[in-house]
Amino acid sequence: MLLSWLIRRDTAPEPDPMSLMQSYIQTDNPAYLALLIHRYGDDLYHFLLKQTDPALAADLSQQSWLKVMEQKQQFAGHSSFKTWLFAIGRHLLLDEYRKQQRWLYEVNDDLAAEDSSPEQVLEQQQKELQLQQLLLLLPLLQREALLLQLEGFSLQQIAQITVTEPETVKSRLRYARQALAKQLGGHDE
Amino acid sequence: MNKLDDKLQQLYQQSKTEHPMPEQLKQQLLELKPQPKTLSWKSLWPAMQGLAACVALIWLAQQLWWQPQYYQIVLQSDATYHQVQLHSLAKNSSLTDQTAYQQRYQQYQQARQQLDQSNSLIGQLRFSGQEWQIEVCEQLLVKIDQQLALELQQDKPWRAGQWVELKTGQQGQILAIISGQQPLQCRG
Repeated sequence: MLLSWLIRRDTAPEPDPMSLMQSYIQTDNPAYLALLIHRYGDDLYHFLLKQTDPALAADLSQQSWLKVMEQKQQFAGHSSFKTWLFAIGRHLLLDEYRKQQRWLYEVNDDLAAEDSSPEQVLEQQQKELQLQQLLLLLPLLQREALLLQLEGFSLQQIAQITVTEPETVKSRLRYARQALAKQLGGHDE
Repeated sequence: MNKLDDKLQQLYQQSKTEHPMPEQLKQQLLELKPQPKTLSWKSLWPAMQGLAACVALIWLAQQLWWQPQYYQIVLQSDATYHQVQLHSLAKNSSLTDQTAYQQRYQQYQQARQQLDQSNSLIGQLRFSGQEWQIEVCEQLLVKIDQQLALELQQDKPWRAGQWVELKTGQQGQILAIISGQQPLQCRG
């Protein structure tokens, strides 16, 4: 009942996610969590999907929301709920990468995608560039920074999620843009 | 916002529209319930540390509370012995001459550091059922209360019948009791 009342977006203003989370922490009422899932479930799933396959993205989504339930008391409100949620999802994704040894953290941030030979990939797709293909041209750290920015996070928030400095994020985004601009035909800057 | 950003944002929004969270997954998330927590050593560790700290504090407080401050020697009359002494450690504030007793305790503590300057008596240990006693040649009986006995036998536990050497300070306090040998004869 509470859920149905809360999701009547046409008649009432959208509840602030921070107060939803605070209410969930205080009452443990799953209706508040359900609303947060409705609001951010797709965003998180898409963020994970762009960096892995659908099955793992679904699994990591589930694990992320489970952690929200189990660790709700640790949400201090220093960041937005969405930032916290994405930080959890990203952490789980990296854990999975480590398990699969798909990625080493020693990736050099300064490596742009110049050596990826993307031209052939693009030609094969008859110049129908899709986001996924473009993203695949980027090193992981640049890719996640770009995805988070496209998701609407600020530099500061991206730094919080990726546990790094805003300057580093800025640098990753710059390299990512340079690489993509090159592939998109030099429309940028 | 430049053309690249526009293009990227357009592609991103298009991708999000094309790849929403599967309905089945959404349903699973809405039905998700946290797993009941199982108690593990890892989760109990902070509580155990806290408990250990409390026990240590209580023990320390108890030790400080019971720390003796007075050394007391009471002479008792007895038909068998020429003299009977009762040695005890106490914190009893009702003692009549606290300063003297306290000084004696301090001297006792200091004197224990200089055992080579102490007087020496040979005697035999026995346990009365309530306290340890040392009989010195049927002339002197030294009774030692429980608290003092505990302090004196920290290094090696006593056993009844054992011959010991009684080290005493200038004020007559027992400084130490160490293993001794049976004297050849007692002086009359």
